[in-house]
Amino acid sequence: MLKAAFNALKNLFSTPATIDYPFEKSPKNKEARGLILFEEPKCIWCLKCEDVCPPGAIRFTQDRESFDYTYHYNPYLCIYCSECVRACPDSAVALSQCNELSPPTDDKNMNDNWFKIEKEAEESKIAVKELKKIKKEESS
Amino acid sequence: MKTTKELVTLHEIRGAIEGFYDPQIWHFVCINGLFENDELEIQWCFAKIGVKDEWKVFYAKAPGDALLPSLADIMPTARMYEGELRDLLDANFENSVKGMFIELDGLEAPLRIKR
Amino acid sequence: MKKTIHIPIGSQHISLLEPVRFSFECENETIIKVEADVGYVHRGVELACTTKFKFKQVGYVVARVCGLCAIVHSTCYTLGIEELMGIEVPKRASYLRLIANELDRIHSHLLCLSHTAENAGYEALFMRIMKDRELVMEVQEAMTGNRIQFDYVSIGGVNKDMNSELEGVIRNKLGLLHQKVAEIKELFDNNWSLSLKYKNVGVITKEMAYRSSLLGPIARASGVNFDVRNDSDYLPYSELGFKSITMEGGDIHSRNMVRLFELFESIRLIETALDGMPEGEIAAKVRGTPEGESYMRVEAPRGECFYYLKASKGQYLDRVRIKTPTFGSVPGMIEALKGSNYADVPAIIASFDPCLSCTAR
Repeated sequence: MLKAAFNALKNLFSTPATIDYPFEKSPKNKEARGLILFEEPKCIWCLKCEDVCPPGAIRFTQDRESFDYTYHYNPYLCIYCSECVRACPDSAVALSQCNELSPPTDDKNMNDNWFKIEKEAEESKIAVKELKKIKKEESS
Repeated sequence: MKTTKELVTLHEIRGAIEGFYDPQIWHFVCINGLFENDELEIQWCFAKIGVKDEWKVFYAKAPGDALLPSLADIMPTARMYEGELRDLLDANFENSVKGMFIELDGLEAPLRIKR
Repeated sequence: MKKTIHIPIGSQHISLLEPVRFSFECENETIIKVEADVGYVHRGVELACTTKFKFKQVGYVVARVCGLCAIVHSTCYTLGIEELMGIEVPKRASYLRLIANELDRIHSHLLCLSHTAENAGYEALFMRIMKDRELVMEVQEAMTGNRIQFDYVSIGGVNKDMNSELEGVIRNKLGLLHQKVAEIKELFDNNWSLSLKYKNVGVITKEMAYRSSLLGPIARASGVNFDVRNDSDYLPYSELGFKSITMEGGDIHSRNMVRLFELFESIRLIETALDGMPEGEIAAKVRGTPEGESYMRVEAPRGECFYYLKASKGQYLDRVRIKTPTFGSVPGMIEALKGSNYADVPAIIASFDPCLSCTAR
């Protein structure tokens, strides 16, 4: 009883345990896992990260003429598991992880447009494969 | 891991489990169902209490629409798994009703779907 | 005239945390018949695991079965697939997995205790336990990188290593937590509304527990010495001298007490694991594809979590069967509710610590 009264008095004058969120930033742990960063010059286009990503947040589309790949990343699908960072071969190390979380954005590649990218990623690779086949036959 | 698998027929399963199951020695883990080659395989899994990784599995094979015996009077928990398999795998256990997991107008036996 | 009253509770109810529906037949205040419906949040995880995702990705899918015991599901799945592929996990990775699992148990048990306190009409204690739980959450964030969905376990090992700085943080925070849990235990033991009120409410006898194959803290509170940590050798519990905790009462009070003593045991296990942490690699190389059948169990905070995997050398698995602890304890819950007062229902349900997202998957 005495102890409870003492605790109650103490709590009356102590600061709250919660933070004043919108006016104060929530504390960030430097070990926290966050968004995936991509460095294009280092990439060897092995597409291992696309294969391994559980939610399919990394997609590559292929150009139908130059056969070049383009990297697409959806930060809202990403689950920050860093499976792609580990899949990235030692000869490249193009992917890395920072502790920033996905910010609110008006990126036009999200929502419905992301489905278009997913579709394009599948279709362009099949199309390029066939184009290459035709070229090979022509040359031989 | 030591797993003993024993094949029984649908008629024998009640007698086999009644004779074998002592709740103080064996823990009833769950009923597991598979659907392969148009045939249902139902497994009753038990694990020994206090012994490292010792399993006993009774399994029976039956055609997809067979009436399967319910063991809910021996192990009350079995009622839950039977209801679950009825919904997901359309395994027709005695006294089980549809609608525990999937609404009646939902997918029919989703786990029978192949890729 | 009809003598009984029919009272439904759920699927949305102020005293329930998750969607479950019970319908009671009551005679005056006493419940005589119970029916339960648990399938409100079915998501078809088992189907998705075999059709949409490759076996390397499934570990991250099953982690989403449950928010509170995420690591248990991914650990159990990973242990199963490692057995099928014949991968030898480095000792250090096993120890790190064990630490992450025990941290998960601490935060889940604290959450359950806070809800039992809330259901006893003790809001202040609810707030207090939630505040102390923040210590574990911070440790988890520092160790695995995320607060709730850890994604810490991967096939072959773990994703993140531990260093001496982190070890210091964990020891420091767990030391603080030990004191706080001791204070909470004193409250649960001596406070009238938490100890006297909860004694002999929702009793499950030892015979009943054996008959309905109960599991986890609920079985241990009824005097059944059944703990998967004793019965499985896939995580190094026996090396750390794990002792399971049993109590004889079988009522809500002893369930709370079992959880509190398990908190101390978990803290001790983590500290022992940190003392004897082996050096070496944290992940083994993964080659090949899985083949065969595997039966795997891990002790989740609520009881035994079971995975059955079947594969035949492909990228996709043939069958994934998940058995979650709450699903197995629903018949026990019905037994405990029969014959009790209607007013005790929220407290009894909270003492079972039901996790319906797990149950329906």
